[in-house]
Amino acid sequence: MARQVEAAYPEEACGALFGLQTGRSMPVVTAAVPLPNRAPLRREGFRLEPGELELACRTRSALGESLLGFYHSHPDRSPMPSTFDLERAVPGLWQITIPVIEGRSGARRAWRTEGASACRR
Amino acid sequence: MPEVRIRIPAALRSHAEDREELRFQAASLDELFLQLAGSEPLLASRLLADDGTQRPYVRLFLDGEEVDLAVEGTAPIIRDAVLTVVASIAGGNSDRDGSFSPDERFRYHRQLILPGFGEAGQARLREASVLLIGAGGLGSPAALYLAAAGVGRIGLVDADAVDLSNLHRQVLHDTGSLGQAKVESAAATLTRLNPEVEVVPLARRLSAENAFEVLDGWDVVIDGSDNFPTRYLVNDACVLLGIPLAYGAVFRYEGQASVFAAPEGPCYRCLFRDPPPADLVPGCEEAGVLGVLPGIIGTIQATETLKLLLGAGRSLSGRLLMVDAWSMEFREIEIRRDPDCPLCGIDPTITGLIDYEEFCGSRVTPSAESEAGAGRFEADTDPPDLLDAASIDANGVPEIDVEQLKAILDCGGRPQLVDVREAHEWEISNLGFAGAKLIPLGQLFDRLDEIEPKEDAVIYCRSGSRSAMAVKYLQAHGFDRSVNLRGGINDWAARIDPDMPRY
Repeated sequence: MARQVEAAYPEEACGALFGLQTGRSMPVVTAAVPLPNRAPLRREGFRLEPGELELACRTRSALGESLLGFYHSHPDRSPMPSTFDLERAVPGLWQITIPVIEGRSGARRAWRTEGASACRR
Repeated sequence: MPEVRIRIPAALRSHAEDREELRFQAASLDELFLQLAGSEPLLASRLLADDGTQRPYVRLFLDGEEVDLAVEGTAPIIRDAVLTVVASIAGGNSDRDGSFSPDERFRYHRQLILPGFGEAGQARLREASVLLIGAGGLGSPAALYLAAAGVGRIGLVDADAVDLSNLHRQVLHDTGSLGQAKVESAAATLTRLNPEVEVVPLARRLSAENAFEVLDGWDVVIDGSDNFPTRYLVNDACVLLGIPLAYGAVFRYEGQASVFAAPEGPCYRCLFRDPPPADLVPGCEEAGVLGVLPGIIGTIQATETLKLLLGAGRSLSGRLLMVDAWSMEFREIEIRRDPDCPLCGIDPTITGLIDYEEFCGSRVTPSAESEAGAGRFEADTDPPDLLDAASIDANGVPEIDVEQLKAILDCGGRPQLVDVREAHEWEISNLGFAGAKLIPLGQLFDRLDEIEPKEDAVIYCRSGSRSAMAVKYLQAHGFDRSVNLRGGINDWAARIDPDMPRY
């Protein structure tokens, strides 16, 4: 993940998180799958192509993993979710945001939205 | 009642017990979602906000056509259908979400509603950068339309200043900008047209030394140059840097356009491996150009550039479009990537930039003899021998400069003076006072008998190119004592007779 987001700097990089979710306990991420950033303005945001995400999900579910959420980088910005992140986040799915400051990735943050509010881990 | 199958995207499947598809009987989308909320409340809450509106990341396609609940919720569904839910997973560093202000939406409205364009296309243009080589006849219309279309960053490379003779075709500039650097005048015009666009003026001459630095990082390069050394330089640099090149050229009433250096596509050298001999190709300055023609070709270059940036449409890559404005015919020929191309072929021999002036045979360096010859002239002495005084230019054509001609005339020398321009040019300025005779270049072949072959003859035109061709022709026909006047009558006007008009 760190290598991918540093290589993409100053553009945003993104991917999907797969793993195991059992009952109500915290999920365990077993794979972070890099996906192409299809946003028209890659320095300002990320977008996943639904077909590419679909393909990744099929591949991982064959291994018994399910989609837990997504990750993306914040070039030269804090890992706090932006208003756009919050607005577009799918409730219930985890998000990891990774700051990349001058090309080096920093401490990441995991969060997800429930209804309107965000909770942080 | 029709059956509607809902396809659920991977991102939301966990909210539907991992099912990929759900089936309902419904006569409208509103009815469908009402049932969904009843049987799959979790999934419904992921698709719709509490107030029943579609969530921002949700896009719905009914039998492939995008639908909006707010608009089409009550529209009747009359037959079995598939509703595909797409979770548009997005986010971003910036709080600017790639959307457009109301003013921007209004400004670009007519292209935003185009199929295959839309906000995504517009955002792509705003993110894009295009470099124009030359802010002249071709660069003007291209830059104007690209700025109008909302291309985010437009760079202009041009070292020249706006001249009155530019204005019949270079529509970026106007009478008020005479004498200004072209890139500055262009930047002002483009900013007035669209203040959202960032214009990068680069007032320099492109050379092999600076080409990589200047061209690197731009998404598309537009060749609006007016000479072969620059054309080859731009082509070579684009191929080596992997930047697609929107090519255009004009000559009198004819123009060409293509796209070079696109992935898998040919380059300019696949089409023209070597430049034509320098003396065979008068520039627009010599040959003239219909002012509206670069308008046609430049807008074609802009069109190709937009398609390259959008990654849409059918590119001119692999085709050379030829336009004859006088007969108004558009023709195209197929051009293929040449496996033997020295630049983009299988085994390239050109792997860096070269000396393009030398490659195109257009370097004019005054020889040592010319310096010595010039020194020999003194007033009130016998006129020197014309051929001794002459130096040889890059194409082997003997030439003298206007000061040497002045000295010869002052010393009482009376060489034949032949003006090979057109009659209307003669009316602007001429050397008739020194006995010059007008024989337009096109008539030279038929009127050779009007020139004495074994007597000294100085051939001139506007700036020395046409007359160089004439001298070469004359020498081949035994006129051994004819020389070219370097710089032409305009140089005479500049350096000898300030009262004579230049054009």
